[in-house]
Amino acid sequence: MKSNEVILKISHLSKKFGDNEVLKDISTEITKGEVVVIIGPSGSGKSTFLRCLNYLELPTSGEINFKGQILAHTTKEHILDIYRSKIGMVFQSFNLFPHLTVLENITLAPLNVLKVSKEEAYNRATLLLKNVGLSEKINAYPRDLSGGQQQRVAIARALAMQPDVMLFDEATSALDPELVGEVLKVMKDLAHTGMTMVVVTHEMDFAREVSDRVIFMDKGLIVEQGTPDELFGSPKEKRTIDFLKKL
Amino acid sequence: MEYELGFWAFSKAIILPRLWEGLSITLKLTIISGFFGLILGMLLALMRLSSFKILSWFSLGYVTLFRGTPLLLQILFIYFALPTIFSTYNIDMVIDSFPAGILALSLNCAAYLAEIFRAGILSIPKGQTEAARALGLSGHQTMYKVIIPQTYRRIIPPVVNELSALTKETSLVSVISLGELLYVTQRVGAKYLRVWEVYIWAALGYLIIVMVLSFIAAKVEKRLMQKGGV
Repeated sequence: MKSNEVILKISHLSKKFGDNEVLKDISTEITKGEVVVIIGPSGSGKSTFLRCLNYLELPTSGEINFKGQILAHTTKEHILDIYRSKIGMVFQSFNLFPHLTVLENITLAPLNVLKVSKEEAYNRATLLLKNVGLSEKINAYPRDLSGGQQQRVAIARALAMQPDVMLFDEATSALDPELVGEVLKVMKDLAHTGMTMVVVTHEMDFAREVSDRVIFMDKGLIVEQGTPDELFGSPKEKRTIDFLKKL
Repeated sequence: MEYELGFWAFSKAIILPRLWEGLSITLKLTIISGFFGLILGMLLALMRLSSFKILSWFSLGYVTLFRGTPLLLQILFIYFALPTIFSTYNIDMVIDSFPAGILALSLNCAAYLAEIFRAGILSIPKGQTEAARALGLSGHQTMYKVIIPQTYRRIIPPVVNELSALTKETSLVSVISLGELLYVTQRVGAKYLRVWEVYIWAALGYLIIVMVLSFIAAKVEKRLMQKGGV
């Protein structure tokens, strides 16, 4: 699925919270269709890195080149809004809008941001719901869904914007163990369609099976990266070896 | 002969006709001031939460002023003091007691409602804003489509509280001779020297307005509860 077209070029990204430097000069590239999994101990900065990728968290310095467009912390808010609309994000805590039905959750952004017609938004939503196996829940409210179902709706909601990249921030961490599988299946299906994905996860099996590249982060740095075989099979850095041993 | 009538006969012949008059003024005061108070209160809440420091400070100053001084003083100030201030600048301004009452009540209840709205907005989890922004919604769209609709059900009880207080506080405008419920009933009482009867009717008048208000609020709350439970 990988091509050579770089979709996100991240240069010297840093993030400080006060004196605490959470991300230290991170540079990497993500190519179209690539599935990148980021692993690392808690507090390693992997979630912050993901949140900086769509400027939900403003990096302190550094820039991101998105298909030729340069974005930095000085970029105007309305430009960042447009950028975010092209980068889908799935959260650990689902964050569905509880006052809206499943259908309304999915069509809110296409209607208000992309300004597509109601009919088109509806058609896209029904197709996406079918893909995540929740067609019968179209008029349900989030409170009537299980965690796994909510997360699948959240994935459909992000996909409704037809994003270039999908970010997953520990998408299965808040789920009961028996519900993790259904969400991972949707993520795997998505990877097989050629979607570019950056996934922060603790699911090492997912990393092994689906990813093209695994990044190991610790203390705000990319310590080591490579194919799943390289990183899990023959890690080079001591910190990587220690981390993988503890799993 | 009115002085010798029994409770019911006196009420029917003398109090009730005037009671309706006063009640309708009280209702108008409540509804109009409540309406403007809600709009201004929401505006003040959004200003307070704005990243523009000047707007935020203005709102804070406003709320501090109107919550920190007695409503009675605000009513007297608007009715008696404002025209004299204007006249020192050679501007002729006469304000009738009704608009003065509306102005004072609206400005006052807006300050309290602003705090309710602000608390409501701040009570919505941060993840909701993040999810909306991540989808590309602007800050404004996020506020109006995602955050504010979720505050409705949780702010209904405190808003009803405030509007009930407003209903009763309309009685304070009797000091500027506005013929609302308390004013007219007091006048009747003074004229016919029947005290307890008129106060009972006045109390009933306020009670009924507040009960109707609570009833409507409970209905709205129940409907919102069915819609997603937020």
